[in-house]
Amino acid sequence: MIIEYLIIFTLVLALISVKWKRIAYALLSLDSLFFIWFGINQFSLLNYLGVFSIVGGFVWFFSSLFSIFYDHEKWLAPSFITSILGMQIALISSTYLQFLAGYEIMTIPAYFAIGVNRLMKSPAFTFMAFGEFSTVLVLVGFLDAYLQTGSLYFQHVFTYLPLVLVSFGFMIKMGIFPFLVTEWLPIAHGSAPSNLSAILSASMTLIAVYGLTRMAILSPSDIFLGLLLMAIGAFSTLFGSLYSYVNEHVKGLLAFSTVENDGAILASIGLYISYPNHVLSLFALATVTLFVSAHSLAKTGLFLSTGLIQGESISSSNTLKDTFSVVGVVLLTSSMSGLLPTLGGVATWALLESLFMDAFVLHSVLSIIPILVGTIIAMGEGFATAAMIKYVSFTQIFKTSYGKDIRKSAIVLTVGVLVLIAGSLSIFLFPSFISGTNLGVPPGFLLSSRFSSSAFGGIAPFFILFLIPFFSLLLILVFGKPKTRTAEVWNNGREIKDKYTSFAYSNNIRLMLRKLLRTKVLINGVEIAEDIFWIAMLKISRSYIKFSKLIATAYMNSDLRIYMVYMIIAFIVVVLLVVVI
Amino acid sequence: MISQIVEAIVQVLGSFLLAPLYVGILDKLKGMVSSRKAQSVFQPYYDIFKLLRKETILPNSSGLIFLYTPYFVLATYILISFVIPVVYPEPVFFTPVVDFLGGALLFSLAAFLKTIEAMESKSNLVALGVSRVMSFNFLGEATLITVFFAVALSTGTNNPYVESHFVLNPSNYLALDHVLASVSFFMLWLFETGKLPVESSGLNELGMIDDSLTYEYSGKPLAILKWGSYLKAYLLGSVLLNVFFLPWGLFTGVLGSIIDVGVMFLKWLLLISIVLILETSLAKFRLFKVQDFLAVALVLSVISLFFSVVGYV
Repeated sequence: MIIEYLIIFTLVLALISVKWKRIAYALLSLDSLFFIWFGINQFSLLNYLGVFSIVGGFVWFFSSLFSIFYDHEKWLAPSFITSILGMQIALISSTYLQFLAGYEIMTIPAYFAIGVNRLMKSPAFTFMAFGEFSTVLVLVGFLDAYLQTGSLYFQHVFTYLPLVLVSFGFMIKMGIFPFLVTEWLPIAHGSAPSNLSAILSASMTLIAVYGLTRMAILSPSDIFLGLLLMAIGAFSTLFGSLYSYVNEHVKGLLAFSTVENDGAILASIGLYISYPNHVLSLFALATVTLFVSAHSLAKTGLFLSTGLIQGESISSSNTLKDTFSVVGVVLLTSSMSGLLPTLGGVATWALLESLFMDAFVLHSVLSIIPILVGTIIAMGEGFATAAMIKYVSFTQIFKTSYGKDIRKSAIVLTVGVLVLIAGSLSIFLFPSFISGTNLGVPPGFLLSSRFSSSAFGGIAPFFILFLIPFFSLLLILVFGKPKTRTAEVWNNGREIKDKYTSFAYSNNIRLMLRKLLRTKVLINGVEIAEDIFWIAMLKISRSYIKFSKLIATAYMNSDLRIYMVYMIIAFIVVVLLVVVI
Repeated sequence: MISQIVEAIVQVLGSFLLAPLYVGILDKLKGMVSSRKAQSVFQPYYDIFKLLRKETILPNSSGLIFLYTPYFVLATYILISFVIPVVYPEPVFFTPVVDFLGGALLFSLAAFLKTIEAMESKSNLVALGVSRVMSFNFLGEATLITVFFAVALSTGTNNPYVESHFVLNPSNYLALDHVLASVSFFMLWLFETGKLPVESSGLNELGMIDDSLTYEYSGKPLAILKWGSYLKAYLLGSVLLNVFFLPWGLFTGVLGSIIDVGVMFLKWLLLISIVLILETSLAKFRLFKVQDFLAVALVLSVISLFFSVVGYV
C-alpha cells in the first residue's frame, strides 16, 4: 500500500517541479530511497525482481541529487520526474495494462524532453517511432498471454509465443542489434542533458530488461529461443562496443556502451530461457540481475560525469575535474570494462562462467552456440575496455582541467565507490552459490559457479578488494615512496599543447576494420565510421519512399481508365475470396 | 593449514624473486647467439636495484595515479601468483580467491591500471602507444577466453589445477583440441610478453607496443613496473608450461614445493630455448600484421573448441 502512495507522491513532485524544481529533485531523491527499501523487501522474499527496484531506486537517487546542481532548463524537471513516475508504475505493476501504462508514461515525457532540448525533430521522432514499435510488439505479446490465461494479471503462460513477441519488443527499447539507433540517436544527436541521458540509458533499459525477465520467468523454457537470444545478444555486445570505441561523441560513446551491456544481459536471459538445467538456470537468472545492477549503476555515474564536460566532441571538449571526479570515473570505467573486484567485473565473470558451463552441459553440437557467443562477447569486452579507457583518458586523465565542480564530482565519486564495494556484496544475489574453503577463503565469502552439486569455478570478490591494497601497502613499505622531481614531458620537439586526440586513439581500429565499419574519408581528411545498420534502415526507407512515389505517379495519376481496372480487379478478387471461403 | 601457507609462500617467492632471472638468461643467450659480449644473467636485478635508488622524474601535470598505481599493478600480479599453478601443482593458500577465468580478469585489471597510469603522464608518445595496445586488445582478450573455454570443455571445471592433472594422461595431452589450444596460448604469450615476431623492445624501436606504456617512467615506479612485467611474463609462461606444454615433473608437500622451484627452472630453460630460436630467426611484423597473428591464434583456439565438441558427438 505504501508503494502506491509513493507513486502518488512522485506524481505530485512532477507537478511541483514546474515551479520549484530543486525542491522536487530533493524530494524525489528521498522518494527513491523508499523504492530501494521496497526492492530490498521484495528480494528478502527471494524475489529476484526486487533487484530491479533496488537498482532503479539508486539510479533515480543519484540522478535527482545531481540534477539539483545541474538542471538549468525550464521543462526538463517535469519531464524527468514524469518519466521516472512511469518507470515506478512499471516496476510495481501486477497487470499487463499497468505495465503498459507505466511503459508509455516513461517514454512520452522523454520524447518531449529530447525534442525540446535542441529543438530538433529527428532524434525525438526516431526515439518515439521505435519506442512505439516496441510498445506495439509488447502489447501483442501481452494480448496473446491474456488470451492464454484469461487474466490481465502476470501469470504463467502455456506457450512461448508471448515471450517471443515481448522479447523483440523489449529488445528494440534496449537498442539491441540491429536497432542500435534507438539507444544512441536520441542521446548523441539529440544531445540529451546528462541527467536525462542517465535515466534514458540506465533505467529505461532497466525497465525493458525487467519486462523481459518477468515474462521469461512466467514462460515455458525453450532452448532454441534461448540460443537465438544469446546469439543476438552476442552480436549486440560486439557491435555496441566497437561503435563505442570509434565514437567521438561524449555521450554517443556511452550510449553505444549501453548497447554492448544490453547485449550481454540479453545473452544471460537467453541462457536462462534455454534452461540447460535447474542449477545453471538459477545461476543465469542471478547473472541477469547482477549485470543489470552493474550496468545501471556504473552507467548512471558515467552519464552524470558528462555533466562535468563542456562540448560534445571528446577531442575538443573541456573538462571540469578534480581528484574526486578522476577517481570516480576510473572506478566506473573499470566496472564497465568488466574488471574485478568491481560489480561489472563480477557480472562479466558470472556471464562467461555461465557460458562455459552451458557449453559443457549441452554436451552436443549445440555447444558451438555458447562457445561462439562467449568468443564474440570476449571480443566485445576487449573493445569495451578500449572504449572505457578512451573515455576516462580523454575526459579526465589526459585532459588538462579548466576548473572544478566539487559537488557534482562528489556524486560521481560516490557512485564509483558504490560500484566498487557492491562488487563484494554482489555474491548475495547468488544465495544458493555461496560457499567457502579451508584455503584462506572462509565460508560465506566464496561465490561458486556450478551446474551440479560440485563446483565449476569460483571467486571471492571481497578478498580481491582486500588483498590488492594490502599487497600494495606492503610493497610501499618494502620499497618506500618515490622521491620526485617534476619536469616537462618530451613532446617530440613540438609544443606541448599539441595533444594526441581521442580520434587518433581509435583510428587504428577504424583502418583495421574499415570494411566492417565502412570508414569514410571526408573532404577535410577526417575519417568517420557509422552505424551500418542505421544506414541500411535509412536506405531501405528511402528506397521505399522512392518506390511509393513511382507507383503513385505511374498508377494513381487520376486516370479514370486505370481506376476502372482497379475496380474490376477488386471485384474479381472479392468474388474469388467469397467463393473460396 | 601451515603446510599450505608454506607452499603458498614458496610459490609466490619463487615467482616473484626468480622472474627477472629468466629475462636475464634469455638476454644472455641472445647476446651469445649474436656473437656479442653478453650481459650478466643478473643484469635485470642490477637494473631494478639501480632504478630503486634513483630519483623519479614526475611529468609536471601528473599526480598520485601516475606515482602509486605501479604498486597496485605489481600487487595484482602478486595476487595472481597465489591462484594459478606457477610453481606448485596443487592449490595453495588463497588459491580459491579466483578461478582460471578470474585470473584472466585480474590480468586485465593490471593492464587497465597500467594504461591509466601511463595516460596520466599526458605524453603524446605514450598515448600513441596506448592506442596501439588497445587496437589489439579485442583479439587478445578473445583468444585468452577461448583457451579457457577449451579447459572448461575438456575438464568440466574452470580450474587450471584440474586441467594440469587431466593432461598428464598422454591421450588427453595429445588430443587435437589440447594441442591447438596450447599453440594458441603460446602465440598469445608471445604477444602479451612483447616477444618477436610481434614486438621488439629496444632504444631505437618505434614499433613498440607494450613498452611504450613505461615511456615517461623513471626511478622507483619504473623499477616496480619492470618487475611487474617480468612477473607477468613468468606467470603466463608458467601456466603455458604447467597446464599446456609440460604438465609433468612437479612434486607435492613442503619439501616438494622447494624442489618444484628447481623443476620450474629447468622447464623455463626449455621455453627460453624455443623463444631464443624465434627471437634470433624472425623479423618483427609490421604493426597492422599483428592483428593477423592474433587472429590466427584466435581461430586456432576456436577450432580447438570445435574439436572438443566433435569429440562429444
